[in-house]
Amino acid sequence: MITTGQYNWVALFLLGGACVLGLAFALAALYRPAARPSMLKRLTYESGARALGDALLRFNIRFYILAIVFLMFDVDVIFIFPWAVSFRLLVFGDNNIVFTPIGPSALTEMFVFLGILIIGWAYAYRKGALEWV
Amino acid sequence: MPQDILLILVRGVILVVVCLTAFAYLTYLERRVLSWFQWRVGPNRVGPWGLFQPIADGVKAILKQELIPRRADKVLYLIAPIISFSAAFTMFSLIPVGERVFLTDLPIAVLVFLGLSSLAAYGVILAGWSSQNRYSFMGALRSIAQVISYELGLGLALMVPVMIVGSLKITDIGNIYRAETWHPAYLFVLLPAGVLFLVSAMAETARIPFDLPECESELVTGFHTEYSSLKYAMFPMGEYMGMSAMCAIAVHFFLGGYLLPAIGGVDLTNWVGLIVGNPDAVWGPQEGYWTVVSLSALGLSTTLTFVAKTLFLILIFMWIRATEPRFRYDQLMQFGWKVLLPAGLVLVFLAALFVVLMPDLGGGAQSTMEVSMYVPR
Repeated sequence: MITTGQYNWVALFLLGGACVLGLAFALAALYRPAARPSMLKRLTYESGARALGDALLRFNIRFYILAIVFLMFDVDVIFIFPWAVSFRLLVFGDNNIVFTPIGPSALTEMFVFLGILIIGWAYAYRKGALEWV
Repeated sequence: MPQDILLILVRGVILVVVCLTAFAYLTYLERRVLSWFQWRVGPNRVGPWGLFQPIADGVKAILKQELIPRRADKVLYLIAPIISFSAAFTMFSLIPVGERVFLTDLPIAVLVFLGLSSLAAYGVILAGWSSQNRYSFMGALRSIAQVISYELGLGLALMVPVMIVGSLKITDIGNIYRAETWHPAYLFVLLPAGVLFLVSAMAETARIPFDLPECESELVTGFHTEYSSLKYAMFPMGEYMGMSAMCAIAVHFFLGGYLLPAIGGVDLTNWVGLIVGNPDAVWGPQEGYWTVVSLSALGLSTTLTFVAKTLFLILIFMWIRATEPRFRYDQLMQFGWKVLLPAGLVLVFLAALFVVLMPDLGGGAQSTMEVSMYVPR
């Protein structure tokens, strides 16, 4: 089977793209005029005014809340994907594979799971976690 | 075996060269299209019709002085554009471009694609964080919030065809659009899923109605404010690649992939196969000149169809860029969480009902015949 070789190709693209780009950066550094930027040029750009303090500001708490809500739904999506791929198999089975289909309960069980998550979503909605004012 | 490796290598090199040239020219196309929309001329000075403009831009990007801010975290600052570029670039190794013309056709292509599309966000976040600039940092924060919000819509939209077909392989999903397996009932679930996918893809790649991470009227240019020369050029490059990859995936999942249109019951894909040779003979074990000719004719015509369809979607993205104003940030987040997410969940429900109610549809991906047919020899 050529399947394992295919994964190598994806890895090769990921690494190859990174290496080619690193090489391009290095070559560009050799090729361009070698003038070193002055100290003023290397200051942080803040619309011309002098940058005061650090860039790592305190930021809004909403980003944390959003991350938590996202985590819930992302795990949810990860759980749904295996079910979604094998859904047809779960309901009807397949003549070529020895497998006992479990019928429509594949649907209802997932509906219960999703229903609980939607209650969670509604709770976050009511609590105002999805509001950005 | 050496011939196999050579063949795959040639395919890979062709894909890389075509991709890189195509992206350079995509920037040119976008500038021309936008200027048509805005009643101006656009780049037309460098070469005939301004066709050498991307080359001039590239040379200029290389020759520009490189500024790394004094307080920047140098390692992460260098890595960020590399991640952004190579994640978007790798998506192209996943996408089949024509009938039997592909580099890889992974059984888990959809998952790898979703993974890569969220990996591209790391480039943005690292760029914004490592530049130690307030504008960049705000852009990165906005970007991470936006990408994670719309990733859910993206995943749920892709889940609909995955459920109908029961496979994560891109060619399996494309098979439901063949004339033999197509049924109009698919439109009830695939059409809304396609719209959901396109909207989420637009937000995921930060295209203009959703380009909050780099909105120039508030954040200078957002996360890549401190980048210059070639490193700067890699961010638009990654963005264009991401956009084209999203469009290509949308074509495979919702627009019939590389198949030629079937008009009035006449499937043009089969026609091409019939004109140049019997498709059964093409996929059978025979080797020889005729097989190569018919394969290449079929491959070429389907590849051109695929490119045309992808370009069509990209032009729609450009059209939207030219006409739509930018969202406000709170509107963006509320739209993602209060509209797209419930819509995606409802679509998954609908797709489940569709599979139960229409047991005969689905392209038959799980029969071993189809699987063996698409394993390259």
